[in-house]
Amino acid sequence: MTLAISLNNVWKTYPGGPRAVAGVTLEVAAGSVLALLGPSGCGKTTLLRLIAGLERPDQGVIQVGERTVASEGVWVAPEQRRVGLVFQEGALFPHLTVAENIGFALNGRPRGAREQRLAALLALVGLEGLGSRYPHQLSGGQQQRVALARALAPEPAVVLLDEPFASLDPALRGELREEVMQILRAAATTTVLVTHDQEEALSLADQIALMLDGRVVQHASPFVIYDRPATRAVADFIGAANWLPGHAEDGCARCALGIVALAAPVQGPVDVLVRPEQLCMAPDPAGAWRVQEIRFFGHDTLVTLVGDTGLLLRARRLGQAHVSAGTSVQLQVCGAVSAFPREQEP
Amino acid sequence: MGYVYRLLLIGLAAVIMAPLLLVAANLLRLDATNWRHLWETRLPTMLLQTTLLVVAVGAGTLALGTGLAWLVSAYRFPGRGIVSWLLVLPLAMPSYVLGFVFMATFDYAGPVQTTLRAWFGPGAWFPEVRSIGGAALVLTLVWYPYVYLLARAAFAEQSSVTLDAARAVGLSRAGAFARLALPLARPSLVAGVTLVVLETLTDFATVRYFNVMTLSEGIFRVWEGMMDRDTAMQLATLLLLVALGLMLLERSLRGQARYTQAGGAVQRMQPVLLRSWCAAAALGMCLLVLALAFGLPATQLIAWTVAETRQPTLPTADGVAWRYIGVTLALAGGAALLTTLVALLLAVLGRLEGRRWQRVAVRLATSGYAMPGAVVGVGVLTLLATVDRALFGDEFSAALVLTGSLTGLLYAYLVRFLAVAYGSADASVEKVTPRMVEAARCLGAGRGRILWGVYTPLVRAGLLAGAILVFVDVMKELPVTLMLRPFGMDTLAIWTYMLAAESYWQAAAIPALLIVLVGVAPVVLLVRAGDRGRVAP
Repeated sequence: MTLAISLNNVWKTYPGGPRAVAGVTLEVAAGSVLALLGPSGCGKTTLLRLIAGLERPDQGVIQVGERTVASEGVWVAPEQRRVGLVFQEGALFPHLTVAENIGFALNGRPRGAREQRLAALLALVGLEGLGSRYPHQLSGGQQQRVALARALAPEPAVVLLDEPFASLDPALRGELREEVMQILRAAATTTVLVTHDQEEALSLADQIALMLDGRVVQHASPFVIYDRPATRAVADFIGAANWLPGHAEDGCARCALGIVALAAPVQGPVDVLVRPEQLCMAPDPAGAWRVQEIRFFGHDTLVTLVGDTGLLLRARRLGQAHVSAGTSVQLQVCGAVSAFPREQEP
Repeated sequence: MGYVYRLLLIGLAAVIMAPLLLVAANLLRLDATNWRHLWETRLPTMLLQTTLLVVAVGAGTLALGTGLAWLVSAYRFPGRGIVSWLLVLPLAMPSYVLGFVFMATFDYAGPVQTTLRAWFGPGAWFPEVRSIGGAALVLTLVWYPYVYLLARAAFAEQSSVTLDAARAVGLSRAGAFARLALPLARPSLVAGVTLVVLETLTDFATVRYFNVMTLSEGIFRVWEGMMDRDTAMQLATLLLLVALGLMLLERSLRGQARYTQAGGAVQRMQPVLLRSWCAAAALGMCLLVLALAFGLPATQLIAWTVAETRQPTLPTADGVAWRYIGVTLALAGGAALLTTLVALLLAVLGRLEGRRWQRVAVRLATSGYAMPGAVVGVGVLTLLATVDRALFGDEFSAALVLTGSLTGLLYAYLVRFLAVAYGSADASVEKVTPRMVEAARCLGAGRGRILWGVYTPLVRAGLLAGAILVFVDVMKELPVTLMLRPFGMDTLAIWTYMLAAESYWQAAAIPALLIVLVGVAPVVLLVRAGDRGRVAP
């Protein structure tokens, strides 16, 4: 596996500000899509800016491809890094046309090659015929496509996207992000996508690096991040979670739902994580759980259940739930679950 | 690196503030005997007449500017489109030009009164032209566009939904205007009237034609009469206090009132179509104001210019006019260049780190525009004289090195007009976002390419507009130039003023017409900027 980006123990603190990046070590395989996911203020944008060269790390080594671009005594300016960057707001040059924006980085090339590349890029992002427009004459989605084409123009080794879909309205967002990912995969570039939208990260990325408080707390595939979160914080951040106190022994845990199979063995007092879609319910007058509330969303239904100890659980089903409030039900857990050693009460 | 920038910013702000601070510092050492003398002689008259004039011109421009703005905003009538921007044109005519044309036309020896006497005999009554009333009328006609422009913009922002809501609860259209549109526009109206009042405080030439003694006029009187720098300084301090007080008053009147209209894309107020005689009356009203404030005086100036070139009333050496024009172009050009450069520097330095004190420093440095020209003039003169004495000793005070030089004059222009250029420069620099620069760097652009490929094209137009505004302001400027010009450096404005003061109306028309012609440029610029602002999302 060739690496497109590697970071080794990178630190960055803004003067007078909080610690933004605290000892991040991260590797991105060439040609893959990595999502940097985390709540706002977790340092993910700073990490992106460090890779682009818009910030200098206090400490640590950053490599793009084979080349060390930042370390003690080494500093490569952003304009020499061959790293493409797309901002949330596009940051197009308002005084240049679409073609001139995209061609900004193609200045040194012979005219013929330049025109050819320009036409190819306009076609790639589906903006044929709009080359002579100005940015303010385009819609938000079109502007972002121009920004992407502009970033791709000099054939960068790496493309960094900083929440590129966040400022678009939701209807447009889904469509555009599919399209952008197809374009990026077609161009076979390595992509780092900064986002706080877990759905975006889970659906688009090959790998997710989850950041909390300046650290990468888990770096894995979307499936592993979702099914086998490394910590409670990761589990809480991604998806919805039911937490049940229990006791684990030999790959199983005993909790309010009976004995459940664990994905990874733990011992002693634990909190068991059960995702809402893992709960299967069957109406049963003798069942220990009662339906408290039903929220119907169309494609699925969220059912809140209350146990005899007062414990609340949420279960998700596709389509309708076919139960009504007040019904007693039996609950079963489908598949293996994760458990985390119980945090000691202070 | 950061320290250099910070020092530069503080240094610039200090240099620009120094003359005003000097005048303000004079408060601490007011001379009691001097004041008693002033109080026993001219001061009460000056204060009274200044107050009366300010109130009259403020009220006049408020009524005229707001009325006309409402007329073109709320009603539709033939010619409204053209008239609504032509009404800004009187700004191109300096007050001292309209003043002397008005004087020549309506004074005792002028054509109007002569004709009246021919018809009704020597006893025919005519109101005294050389009075506060006459001065107020002229100044109102010259400066109502400030209120008009701001009021029109305020009315344009008001959504029809708000007005419809007022109508729905039973207000008439006139009631909606009085109870809703006017209060909503209040911050803009206050800002407009404040501009007018500050201009009134600065003016000394027009009021002098009309025999009105204001504070500014008083400063010049003591200055020219007996070169009494101390008394001039005392009066300047008083004037500075008055201007400061007005600015504070504006703030409190504007108060927290920053009314915003709900929603981004507001539905504009739908103007009501006027028919037959109503439309004629509306158009007639606008045309009458235009004729009085611009059309007739401009025609008169042209007629005088033609007559003067055919048969001069004043023997002037050949080429003198060209020398005045050359001096004016050089001074205005130099000041525009210097002021724009400093403004750009301040705009860039002010946003480097975005700390509070940096914004405050910039704010203070650009406050000179609110200060009457006489205050700036006295401040710069006193400062330079002090520096001269410190540098070259007393024996040189007869041949002042800095005080009587071009440096002093350009410095004073910088203090006075920095705010004009800064507004444009700041707006231009604002257009280049940090993201844009970062995007350019990631695309491989070095410092040079960013400067020439990103900054320059985006900033150029705004800087040029600012430079033009300063250029025209300097060209029209009178008090500062009069006080600080080096020997022989007379501008068109000085020439006009001198000739008009000696009642050489016809000869004064030539430079006056030149000033008006050049002065039309920024007005067009202003109107175009306003229109663009309305078209852009």
